[in-house]
Amino acid sequence: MPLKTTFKIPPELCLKCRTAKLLCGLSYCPISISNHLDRKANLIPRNGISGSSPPSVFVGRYGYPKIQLYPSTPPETGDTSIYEAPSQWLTMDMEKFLEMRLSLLRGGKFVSISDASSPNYFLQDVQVMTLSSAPVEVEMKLDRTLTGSRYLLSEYSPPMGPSAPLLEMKVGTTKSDPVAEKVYYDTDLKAAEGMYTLYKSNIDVSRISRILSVGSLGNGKNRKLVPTRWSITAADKTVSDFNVKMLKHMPSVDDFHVFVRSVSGNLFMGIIGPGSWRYEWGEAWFPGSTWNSFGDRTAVMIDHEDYYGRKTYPDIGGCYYSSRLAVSEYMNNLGRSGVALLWREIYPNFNIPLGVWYVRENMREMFRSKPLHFDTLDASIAYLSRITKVPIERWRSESWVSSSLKNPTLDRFY
Amino acid sequence: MSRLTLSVKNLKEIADLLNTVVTEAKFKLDQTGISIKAVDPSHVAMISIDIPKELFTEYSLEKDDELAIDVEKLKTTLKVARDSDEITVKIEKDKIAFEIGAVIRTMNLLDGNAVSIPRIPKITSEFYVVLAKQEFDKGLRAAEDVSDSIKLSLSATEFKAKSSSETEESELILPKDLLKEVSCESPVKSSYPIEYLIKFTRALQSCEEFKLSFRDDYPLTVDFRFGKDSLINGAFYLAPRMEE
Repeated sequence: MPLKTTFKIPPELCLKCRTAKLLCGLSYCPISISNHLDRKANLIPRNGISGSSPPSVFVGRYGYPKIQLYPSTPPETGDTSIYEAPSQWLTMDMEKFLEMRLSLLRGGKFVSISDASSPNYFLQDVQVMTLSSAPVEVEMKLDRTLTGSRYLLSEYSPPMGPSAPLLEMKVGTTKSDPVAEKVYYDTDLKAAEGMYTLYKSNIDVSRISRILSVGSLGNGKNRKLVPTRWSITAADKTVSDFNVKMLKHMPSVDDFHVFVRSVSGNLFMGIIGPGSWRYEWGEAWFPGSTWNSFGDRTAVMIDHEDYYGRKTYPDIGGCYYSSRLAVSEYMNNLGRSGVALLWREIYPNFNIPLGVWYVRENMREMFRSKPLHFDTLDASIAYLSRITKVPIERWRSESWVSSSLKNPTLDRFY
Repeated sequence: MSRLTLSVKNLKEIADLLNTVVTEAKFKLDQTGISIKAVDPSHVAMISIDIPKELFTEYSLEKDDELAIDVEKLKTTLKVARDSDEITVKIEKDKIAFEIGAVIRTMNLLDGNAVSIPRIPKITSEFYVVLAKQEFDKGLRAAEDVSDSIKLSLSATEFKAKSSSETEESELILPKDLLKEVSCESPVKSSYPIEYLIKFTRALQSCEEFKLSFRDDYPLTVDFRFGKDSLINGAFYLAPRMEE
């Protein structure tokens, strides 16, 4: 099961490095991960997987509305909940993380998205398993071995391991979660309200998106399976919509709160300032980073919304909503509203798509740190100019919120 | 209990106008009539409307009052009524009832503390133009897809409204003879967010002419009148957009 890189690494480099220095410039060592995974793969009996599912599931999108549903489990038993706990992944070593996630083995079966309105036994099993608040024993009988199957790396969903067609699945006892079950069995509750009910009971959005993806939410007749890629953003957007609606009633912050978080290959920045709710998410991809593999200049892109929100999907993609969720949580905790400029720089050695959880959790972590306070936007930006690698003028000229702050409000004319 | 009766068409227009800036507003009632002031959450646009008691066919007020009303609900309530109908509003304690023909629709008033009455900024300008609303509407509609701001300029001889982007341009030019009244000693110009203007002029349906006052990089005031004998009068204020 080779882990592919997009370019050839000269063997001399690997000989000199032997995983120690990551001389190839990647943020993980492909050899070391392959070795680990191969060892794990050898433990898997032919045609079958069994283990404790965290619980974990992947819903494909190819062939929509006839798609593949993949319940998944690592080939080990015990407390595997960390496999699906994004908040704990940040502190993990990149190789450990990839090794862990890529060993989530998947058995896939075709289902139609509308099957969720009257689920068969297989789909019901997956739905009930997904509701569990603790890992569930799972046994899957597969049509063929997992050898040769592809790993799943996506900018939306967290990495996942190889798959094979699923013949049969047995699910052990689940740990019931009263709120999740109530929402599941309430076939009159709208999906959006269901998601917010789950969120209010401290269920993380990553779990909410999984529950949504297997078609467990919404009005009974209209229930549908939602491909994982879409369900993640749907959960981030829906929950942050509720949060933003609430914070609009709160008074504005009094000065500018500036946050910085620097992690391997990434710089996250946030400016929260006085004013009515306005938000922007910007990304600067350096040449050689995941989505700028072939470019020769840094690509900067910003999407924004004014007080009344957006009418179209942001070009920048799902991270727009995962970081919107993080900032809406920060403002709600503070009991204050404001304007939010959130920017991220992605450097050349960050070249593997990890999923939007990476942005959500890093932004949440950033907002848990202590901010610096400034009186003006200019002072806040001047401070950031010492940290950014993208010339600050580039950020400033692309920033919609920054230019909107230049426009006076009526308050200036009293 | 207070009882007020007025034309559905007028009340609809008032609700639409308020809804261009807010979803909730406070109505102030006294012996002379009703006044309403509302500012949009981003403090870019503000509206003030005065409805004298002469507009009402019945205006019996138990006491001076301040009513916090859900404007969107009011709009939905009015959907069942025809423009030619009359509507009677009854106010009792924390409830408000609307009688439209045989239909009675009651709703709770909002918590008065949660809805505030904004102060009107001190905006004055001796530079103004009175023009047909229809003409101005044309200029706005032409500019709508071009840019998100519109630049108004006024001289003693003409009024212009221009929007431009990198690839497109739209300009409305009204020479003096197409204007009802002009007062402008020296030319002035200022830009404004177009979205607010469009929302406002769309809501103001039965007004035929209005007065625009502004000066360089300064808020715009639109003075308007409508309703029976043009009794309802109001002003719309809009903060300027600074040029790049």
